[in-house]
Amino acid sequence: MSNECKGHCNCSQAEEAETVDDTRRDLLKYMGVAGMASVLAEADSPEAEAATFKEWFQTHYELMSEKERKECIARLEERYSEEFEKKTTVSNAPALKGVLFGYALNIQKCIGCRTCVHACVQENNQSRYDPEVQWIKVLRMEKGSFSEEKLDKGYPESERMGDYGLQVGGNAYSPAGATTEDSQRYYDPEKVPEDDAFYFPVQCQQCEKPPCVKTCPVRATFREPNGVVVIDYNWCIGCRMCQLACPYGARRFNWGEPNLPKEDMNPKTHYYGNRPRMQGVMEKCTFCLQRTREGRNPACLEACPVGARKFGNLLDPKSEIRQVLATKKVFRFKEEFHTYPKFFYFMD
Amino acid sequence: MARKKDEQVDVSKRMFFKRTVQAVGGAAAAGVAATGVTRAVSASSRCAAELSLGYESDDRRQERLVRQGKLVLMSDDEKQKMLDEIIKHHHSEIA
Repeated sequence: MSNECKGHCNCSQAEEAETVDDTRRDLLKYMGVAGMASVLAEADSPEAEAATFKEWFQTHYELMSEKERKECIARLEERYSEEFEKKTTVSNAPALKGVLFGYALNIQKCIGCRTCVHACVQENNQSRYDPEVQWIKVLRMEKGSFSEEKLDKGYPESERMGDYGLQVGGNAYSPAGATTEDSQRYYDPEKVPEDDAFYFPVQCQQCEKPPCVKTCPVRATFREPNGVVVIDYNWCIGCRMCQLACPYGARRFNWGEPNLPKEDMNPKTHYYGNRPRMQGVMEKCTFCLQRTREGRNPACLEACPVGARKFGNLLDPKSEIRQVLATKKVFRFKEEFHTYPKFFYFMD
Repeated sequence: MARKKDEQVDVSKRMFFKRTVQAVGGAAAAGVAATGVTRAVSASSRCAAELSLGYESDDRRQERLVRQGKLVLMSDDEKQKMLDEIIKHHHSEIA
């Protein structure tokens, strides 16, 4: 379109032409800036850029073909090996057949040493500082006093109010055992266990009917065939609905980029387990899936110095976990939510 | 007259096409730039103190949730029912 209207032709066309040219110029400028910004942001080699692009746009792991899964695993192995300067493997070992994992913890034996917490952090590549992300939290609770005189005094407290925690017998005003009401997360005595306290480790309960799975809008978190609730970290959108849904507060969100020093990184990982996470995704206990799918025990169990932790296959009547359920005093925790946790607390 | 009309139509078609391309191109460029911009902004604007507030609130929330709970001793019957329900649900999930 000519700009030489000189007032003799339709001036609106000339004005329009100028407007079009300006707009086109702006568009090209904008695209150039945007393109440069993205290049500067990802100032890596072309191969690395391509890998990042593919990882960003990969689909849910469960929906991938075998070929796509292999490529995904290879990409992650290469990225982690480069980032942490050690040969890293990302296993995609499938779930075991005929297995439903259950976990039991003896709250009488637990001494609150937190060895399990630190073993978990080491094994599962949690962020180590600013902050240290811990999948297991050990809460300290005051021991109550159980009095037989008061057994038939008073009236039963309702479930929501006046909670007396451990209840052995009814109509007791005094707490029998311990209450969860006065639990403390930060305790640092000179020695554990303290005489007047007992300790209550809490981690993901691997619910059989998990509310977190129901609320996830993209099915990034789901229950895998062995009963463990896992997360596809690359599919997670970080909405934190699962965290809000969890009645046990067991999920952790990566508000910032995890700080995992290279020397502390455990290079033996699993896609759904302990591979290093990124900012903006959820994480939680997976019963050390990278170990249990190879027939090993979770790290917390192996680390416990007093043997308070038991683990096994709920489908096997001869397993240790089934023996605990059959013979010990087992407690329900937050039973009113009907989540059917597969993490049981017991006493001898 | 007809020619003027044709020209007007051509211009408006051209304008429409150009505006569409501009819109699509702008959206695509914004999408591509989002990665770099998001990373730059999130890394620089959130200092450690701000991030630690998020982690702290998660921990406090868990503590509050656990305090609301209770441990209730199960009878043998309740244990068996619970186990049966868990196993039944497991089989229905994997079926």
